[in-house]
Amino acid sequence: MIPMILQLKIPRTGKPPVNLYLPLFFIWLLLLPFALLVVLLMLIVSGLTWTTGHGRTILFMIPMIGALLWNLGGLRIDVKDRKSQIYMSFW
Amino acid sequence: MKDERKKILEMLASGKINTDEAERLLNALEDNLAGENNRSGTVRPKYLRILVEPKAGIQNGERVNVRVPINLIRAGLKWASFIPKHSQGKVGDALKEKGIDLDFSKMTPDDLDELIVNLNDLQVEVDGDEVVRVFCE
Repeated sequence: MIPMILQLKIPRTGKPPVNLYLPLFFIWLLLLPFALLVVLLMLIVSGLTWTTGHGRTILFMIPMIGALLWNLGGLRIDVKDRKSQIYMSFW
Repeated sequence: MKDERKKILEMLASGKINTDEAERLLNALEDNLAGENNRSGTVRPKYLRILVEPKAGIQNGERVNVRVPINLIRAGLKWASFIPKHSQGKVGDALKEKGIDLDFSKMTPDDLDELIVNLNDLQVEVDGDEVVRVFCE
């Protein structure tokens, strides 16, 4: 499922890390008109370049980008050593 | 699980619990689900886990905990077919140099399923300081 929340941990020296919950659903809503425009543009370019062979590739890219975004939910990256920590989790 | 997750987020939004408590509850919920899946043995794995932990007795070592959804790997593998032919050869050669004879562009979903089955629980000890575990859950 498409992730709705991005959790980030920001480390602080000598203190527990700050937990940030970013509402991705809000960002998706904001990006929706832009995404629709990009899809439309890709469809037009795909149609125009169909004879060269690139059109098919561009057409297939649309669902593949969607699949990548859709399946981001559940991805968790947590790397830490003595000095630093990187934590991000897509809910 | 969706309802339970929603309840936790509602409790967080209404201020009944703080962010740390919400995180603990969400993690417990996910661990619980993973445990149920392992017990039944019939459910297909959903995540690829990569854990790097320092060996016992070593303090302050690097720790890595990565969980990648299998469907994300499937979606990512399809992108390999977009690598230009001449670059595919270079990537293949570089992998062969490292002892990996694998052509990602020819990898099918069935190949990935087979890999997941065989990757049940792989454990590698690196340089004696760190233990790397790769498994599916």
